[in-house]
Amino acid sequence: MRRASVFSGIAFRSALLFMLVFSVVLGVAGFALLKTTQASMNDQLRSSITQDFDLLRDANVTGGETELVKFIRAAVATRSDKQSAFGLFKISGKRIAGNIPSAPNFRGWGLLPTEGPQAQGDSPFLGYAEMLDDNVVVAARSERFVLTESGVVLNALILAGIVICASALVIGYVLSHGVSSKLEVIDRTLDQVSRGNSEVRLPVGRTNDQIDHVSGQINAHLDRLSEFMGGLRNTIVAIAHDLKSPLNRAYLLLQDAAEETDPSAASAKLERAQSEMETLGGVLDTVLRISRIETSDDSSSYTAFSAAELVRDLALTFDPVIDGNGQTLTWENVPTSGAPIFGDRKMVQQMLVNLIENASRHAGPGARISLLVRADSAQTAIIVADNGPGIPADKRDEVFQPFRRLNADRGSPGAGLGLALVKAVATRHHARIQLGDNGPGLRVTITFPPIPEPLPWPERQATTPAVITAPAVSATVAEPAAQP
Amino acid sequence: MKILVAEDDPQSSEFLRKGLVQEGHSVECVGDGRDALSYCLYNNCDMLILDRMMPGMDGLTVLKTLRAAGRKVPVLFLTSMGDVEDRVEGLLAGGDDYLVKPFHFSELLARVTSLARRPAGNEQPTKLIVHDLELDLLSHTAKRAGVNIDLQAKEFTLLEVLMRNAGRIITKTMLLEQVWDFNFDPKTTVVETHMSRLRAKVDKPFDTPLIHTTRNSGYSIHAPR
Repeated sequence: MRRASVFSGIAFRSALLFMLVFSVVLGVAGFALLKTTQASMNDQLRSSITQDFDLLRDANVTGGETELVKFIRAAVATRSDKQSAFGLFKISGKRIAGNIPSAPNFRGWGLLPTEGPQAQGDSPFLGYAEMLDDNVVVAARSERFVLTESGVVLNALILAGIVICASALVIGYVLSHGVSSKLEVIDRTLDQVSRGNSEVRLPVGRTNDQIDHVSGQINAHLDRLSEFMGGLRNTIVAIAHDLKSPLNRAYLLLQDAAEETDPSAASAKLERAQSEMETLGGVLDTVLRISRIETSDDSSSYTAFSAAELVRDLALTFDPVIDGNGQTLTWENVPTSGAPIFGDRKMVQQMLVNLIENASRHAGPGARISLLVRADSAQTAIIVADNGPGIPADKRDEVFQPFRRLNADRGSPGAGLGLALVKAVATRHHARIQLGDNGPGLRVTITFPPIPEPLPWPERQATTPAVITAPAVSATVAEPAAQP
Repeated sequence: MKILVAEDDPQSSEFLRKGLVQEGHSVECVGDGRDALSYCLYNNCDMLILDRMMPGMDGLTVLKTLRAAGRKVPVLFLTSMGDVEDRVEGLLAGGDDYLVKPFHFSELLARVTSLARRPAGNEQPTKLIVHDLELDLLSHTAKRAGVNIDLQAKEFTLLEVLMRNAGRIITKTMLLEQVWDFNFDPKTTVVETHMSRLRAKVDKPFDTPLIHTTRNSGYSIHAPR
């Protein structure tokens, strides 16, 4: 791992910021603590000096100058710590007793001159001087204690600051290292994905932190992306196959026509080539339409319309066609109105046309194709059922894949797109597709969600919902086969 | 009729020019949207065949500008953008018809002819008559030589579309759009089957057929010539 990425990591930078802020706070708080401690110790020092001076004053009251000299000599002799000093001077400045070499030039509180035998070490002496009778009397104590204690406090503060700053840096580095490692793995993985390796996934740790959560999300997106890319690859291969066959036929026909000497025969071949090209165009149009339906989320063309009216209208259109195919179309149980759907009418129309044509194509001669509409206050379902061979339960998911043909009928290009378009339209309308067994045959049920509020459907409250019972079909099993 | 073809593909443009000239029209071709707009603004032409994706200015903007300038010239979109949304957009912008590439020339010709003869006003006839066939749009009844013909709803609409365009070829795609509101080509023989049923009722019991098929083009209804 690059060290630079650790130091530039957010965790390390946060630690640095923390360290800076902490140092400033520690400095301000430490200064205040030091000053408070010094003030308190100064008070203590002055109190001790005042007590010494009171003893001197008592001695003066008791025995005058003689008693003072005696007391001072005894005090100087007994206080071996050399932290105290006393002095007795004539008004002229001449020393009478004590260990202070010269008379102070102040009265009240003041610092004694540093030179002289009283100056133990480098610490100055704080003194109190007053005239008692005709003499100048001084009591003093060294400030060393105050300075030493202040130094201890200051050292403690500096040490604490160094320890905390160092800890913050170490913790910041460790955290940043952890985050940077994970991010580098993500970076490397995404780089591999961008180079076309759709199989790699991010490691998801057990700590379940935010990065793990995001990694999980990215993995889920990558799964969907791989699925989509796989589907796209299959579709492209299938499109290429479906386009190549008619393209090849058109190519051969054009070649034939070019060599044909009879103009009418040449013209017939050109027409057939043209028809093959139209087939190509049709496949491309359908693929584009499916793609557009799947990717667009524009619902400006959505209206509330009656599924019953749409199904009846289509039944009137396809009845003669299906009759011409030697099959029967029944729609007697479809109500004349009601059964609301909110969606794009033309899309739903094409979806139903595909389902009807699919049923007619696969149900075989003599088959009966039934159209049904079931509606209640919650939802509307359109059912296209036939009594043909049906689709085995394990194959039902496959039929919605573009270009998937169960009977491997490669002779009709684009025929594998009908149900893919059905699924695209259903998904776009949040409708559910169920492929069930019609016992025998296939039963396709498209269930549309309720129309959204506010009610764009004036009849919803005005009429009783049309509940239509399907004609008796033996052993009707509606198995969910394809969830949109 | 003077037709302006706005199409940036020179091969398609030349193909259209040749075909339309053969049909007796006078044709000008431009390959840029801005040229198409200035031509229509400063010259008289009877129809504009307009591609949507062109350099300079797209067809939709050309049309919107023309309509905003008050030009009522009929416009036929000829484009590879064939989705429902594209069609709706084109027609809402003021286009009169919409044909998607690739196309049959006969389909284009049928639409050009239909557009050219579109009545200028909004008068809605209540009765359509072709030879001895009468279609009453108010009572929804059909009669031929005084004999009532019983028509299903779709057959009635089919006959109505044919009779409104009497003498002109109506293509299969035009019928799918106008009778069934399909903007896709179903795999089954919807148009052929309904046309055959209509003929069985309108033509078969009588001596003279009125509905005619033009191979590779479409259908038309007209009195015997």
